[in-house]
Amino acid sequence: MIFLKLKIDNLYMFKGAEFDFTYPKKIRNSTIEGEFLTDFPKINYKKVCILMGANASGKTSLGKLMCSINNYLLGREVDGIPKTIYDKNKNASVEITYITQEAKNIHQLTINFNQESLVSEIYKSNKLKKTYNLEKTLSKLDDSSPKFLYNKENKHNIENPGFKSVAYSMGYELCKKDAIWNYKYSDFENSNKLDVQTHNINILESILKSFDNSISSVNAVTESEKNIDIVKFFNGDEVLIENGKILNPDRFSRGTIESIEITDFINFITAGAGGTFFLDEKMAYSHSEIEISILNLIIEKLKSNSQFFYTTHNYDVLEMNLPSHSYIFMKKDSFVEAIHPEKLGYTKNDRSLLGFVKNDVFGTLPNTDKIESLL
Amino acid sequence: MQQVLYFYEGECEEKLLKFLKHKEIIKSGKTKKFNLWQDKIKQLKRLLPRRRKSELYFLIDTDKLANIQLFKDNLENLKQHNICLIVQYKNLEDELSYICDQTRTELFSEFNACNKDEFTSKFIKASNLQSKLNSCDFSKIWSRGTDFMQKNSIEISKNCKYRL
Repeated sequence: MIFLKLKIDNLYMFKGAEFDFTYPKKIRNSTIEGEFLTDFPKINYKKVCILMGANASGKTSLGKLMCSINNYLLGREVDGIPKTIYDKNKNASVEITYITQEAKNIHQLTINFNQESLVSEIYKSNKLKKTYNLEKTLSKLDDSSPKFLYNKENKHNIENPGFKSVAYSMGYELCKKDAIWNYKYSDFENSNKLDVQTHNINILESILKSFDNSISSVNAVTESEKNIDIVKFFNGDEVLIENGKILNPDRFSRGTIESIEITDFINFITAGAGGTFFLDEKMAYSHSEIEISILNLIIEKLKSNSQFFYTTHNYDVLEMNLPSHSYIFMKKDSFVEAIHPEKLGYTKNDRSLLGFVKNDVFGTLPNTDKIESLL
Repeated sequence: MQQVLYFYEGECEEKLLKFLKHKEIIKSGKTKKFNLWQDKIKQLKRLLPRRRKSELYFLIDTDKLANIQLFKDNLENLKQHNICLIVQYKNLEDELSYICDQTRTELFSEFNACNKDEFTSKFIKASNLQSKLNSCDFSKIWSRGTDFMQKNSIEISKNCKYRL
């Protein structure tokens, strides 16, 4: 599925926050290929979204919420919601506009929760039309009547829906069952585990050697019944990765350990079909050059009808040759606000946004006065 | 400071570029592996500096002209960048023979190599490049030019100011 728009209210630190994952006009010679639906080329969506902002500006929270949405659309209970409601005395809501490219549909789902359960659900869906551009498609969706409604007056004999979609349980296919997504969060430590299912030794070797030039080779041990990779160093040291688990991670630097999870993520992208991919500050320990090089690799390997979300603090990422609409800045004063530079007129794609960010044009720089007061 | 990038085709060229930078014969700059004859610049374009003043130097061999169309497509894609082709007369060994005033065999024997493959391997591993290339005149390197660009109607080499 493809996220087109997302409105979040009273969840985490989001209050009336709006994210737009569409862009109005195709860019000539864009460095991102296929930033539109394959079968509906007039539907422009952001294939690459780089989320930047100060610490605690909501980047990870956004990823967690999007992952919850993916699960919710498949009829799963999202019981973590109550603890993320900001004002516990008020309802929280999410409105998501999205595409299921396989079903060739555009959908809009508006859900309201309180501390106890789902309060209301409004579901709209239209068939995509080749002749409609994005604007018309969205406007037709807004004007359409709900296909399904759940609220106090329309309970469908469900008294307590919990934190699950009633529309789904009533038989509405909100999303394809085999939808692909992969979310990796900065605060979830899984770096010493490699997913053996999507394992590619060449990618592993190239990435590990880039992180640590004292690694001489990475090979699969073919004579073992277990799935074992052996990482050899020029000094004769060895690290074994058995069924995806690094047996002696101490031999690796922090960045190299981190790279294992990145490898896993890249394997996932290259091995499967298109999907939603979210990588949250997973290269915080990497050298800037390596981070940018890997980011370039991920973008290159993205399949059509995919969407990649990436969070970072690295200024150098702003110097990459990417359309300005690929960047979304997040800032938090009282609440989180999303800033889309292309909507503010920063559309010169031959110019870096770095200067604007450094001059705090978007108000996204953290205030360091309190640190300086310690001097 | 303007950003300078050197693109090389093989490890020998990488080694030589690093040596020349260290010797302050050419400008400092980042080195990246990229072959205009084999690789698509589109895949690397996201990493290229946006600033027009940045200098991009591509060190190319002209002894094996593989895919001329891909080469031309790559140059077309690089149009808005400030690029310069550093054209080697045939290949690295030939350039070194010329600037060191040695025959190919003499050059190889300097590195205790009997053939091209052995020379390549030993050149890459050499820890004493300075002593081995001591008698070479680096002001002559890449100075001969070839008719390769004219023959292929390639007009590119706007600003080849990589020498110090």
